[in-house]
Amino acid sequence: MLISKKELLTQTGISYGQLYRWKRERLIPEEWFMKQSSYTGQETFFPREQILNRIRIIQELKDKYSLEDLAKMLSPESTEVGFDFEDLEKIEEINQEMLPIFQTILDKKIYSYIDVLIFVILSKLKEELNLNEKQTGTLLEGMKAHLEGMNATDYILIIFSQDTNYFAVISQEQSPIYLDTRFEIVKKIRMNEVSNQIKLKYSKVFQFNLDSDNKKKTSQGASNEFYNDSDASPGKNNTKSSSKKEEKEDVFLKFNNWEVRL
Amino acid sequence: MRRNILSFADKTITGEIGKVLAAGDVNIANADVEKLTGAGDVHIENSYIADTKLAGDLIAVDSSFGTLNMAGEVKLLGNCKGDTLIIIGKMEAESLEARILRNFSMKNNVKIYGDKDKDVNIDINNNWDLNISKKEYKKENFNIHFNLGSKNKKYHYSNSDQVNGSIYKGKIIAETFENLCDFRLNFDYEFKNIISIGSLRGAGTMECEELYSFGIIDMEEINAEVIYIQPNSKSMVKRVMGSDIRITENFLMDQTFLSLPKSADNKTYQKEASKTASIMEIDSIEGDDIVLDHVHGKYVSGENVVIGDYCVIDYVEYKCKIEVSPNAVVKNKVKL
Repeated sequence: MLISKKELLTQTGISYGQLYRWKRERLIPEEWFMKQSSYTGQETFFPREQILNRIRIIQELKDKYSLEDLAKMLSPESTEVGFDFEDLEKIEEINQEMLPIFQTILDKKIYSYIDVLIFVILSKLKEELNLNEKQTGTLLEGMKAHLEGMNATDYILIIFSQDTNYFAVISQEQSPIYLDTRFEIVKKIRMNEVSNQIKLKYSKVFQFNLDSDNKKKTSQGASNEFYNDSDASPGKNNTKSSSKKEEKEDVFLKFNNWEVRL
Repeated sequence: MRRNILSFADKTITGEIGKVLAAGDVNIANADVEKLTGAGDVHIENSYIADTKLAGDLIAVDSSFGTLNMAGEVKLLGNCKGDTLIIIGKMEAESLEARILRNFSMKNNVKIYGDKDKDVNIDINNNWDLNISKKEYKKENFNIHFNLGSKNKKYHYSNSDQVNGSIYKGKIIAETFENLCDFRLNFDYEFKNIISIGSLRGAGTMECEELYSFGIIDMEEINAEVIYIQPNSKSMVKRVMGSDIRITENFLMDQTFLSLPKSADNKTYQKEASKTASIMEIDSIEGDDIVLDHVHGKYVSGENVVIGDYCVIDYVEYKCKIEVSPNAVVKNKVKL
């Protein structure tokens, strides 16, 4: 299910300038620009659903947020915000009856963004596939060990069934999966898509577009800091204490405002 | 009033200083210096130097510079910042953020106190004036000698070094990068604007906001908001995409260009832009506004397209307007 670049531009009404600007701003992942050879050398195709969806989101939100903020919101990188139980209760997409069960299974106080995303997905699955509480919980149990190591959301979650048992496979978005045909695939979920919806919907509540840039301590700042508590501040230069210090620095000669050090 | 230091000793300078004149190696730590003029190696740590002129190697750790003008090798550790950095020589940076970064001197940029004819010998036609736009940077090899009393410095530059390897390494961010020599973009860079009169080579896609190439450019893809490329038969670019694309002999020095932060004189660029163009081959060009001449291409697609003199294009698509010069050949023209 691919869409050519030309068709994409016609269908969405965006220009080359916009498309490539959004690519530069990382609003559209580079992997979505899939090149295939053609008479001009190469022609670009995109995963149809994903790109159309993405462009719709960008068009809706580009006036509300800066492109930079939007890029952070749409990035597959997970966020570093931790969620406590109260936070989880605020997310409508999480089945509140399942919440205590999820909690017992993961057994922790602060949940990662990936955990939250999985809760949302499981809640959705429970409803769509009409799963009971045990089936839903078992799925989480089965994925539990893998969630810790995940720090991005560009994964596909595949749910397959055998008899009345449901199983989950989590795989990288772009890599194909060849599953034993005896299993029945009941659902494929792109975690990124769910993540985008959640991030957009709750961006105000949880400040997903986080400024993790806390390292504002630049070298300039560092040197300023030094001056605040240093004895080398101006005005002290001509006092006795500082001239003592200067002697230690092997000042050979002083004239006017110059020191000569040998 | 800040004190000034004339340093002949390898001692550490610290505190709030006016001018530092250094002959020989010098260490500066936890200092705020108005002006450093040095011939010799300099080691700087946790300091800010407003104005630096240096011939020698520089190692800086977590430091900031106002204007840095130097010839020598640079090693930047930790986070370093700079406003206008003009460096003739190699640079390795763990993390550098600059407003303007330029990789070659144009004229009288490196001054060393002392008698420059006697003490300093720059071995490019024995000429202090490094007018690099013509012959010098195209030479295979050249040496820069600094003879500073007991301390002799010799820098060797070779075009082949620069083409195969890189004179820059590490992570370098700049608002404007001015390329005045042969340069290879094979390090972690983030340049908002790129202006090049030398040759600029790299693999994959070059991404920036504004690109002005008056020299040779060798890149698989270019994606920028504003693109000006002077057509040059030695350039090799497969795909160009952006909003405003001009690949044409006539360079219009408009407000967009004039308002770019840069250190080299606009006249220098104007002079480079007045050269004659030669036919450039590009597979595909996609943009909103496209103006071309001297381009041989397979595919051009845009909203407003001007196909100027000496163009041969297989297939042109346009959404709003098209102009084709009588001196151009367009095999297929399609309105979208």
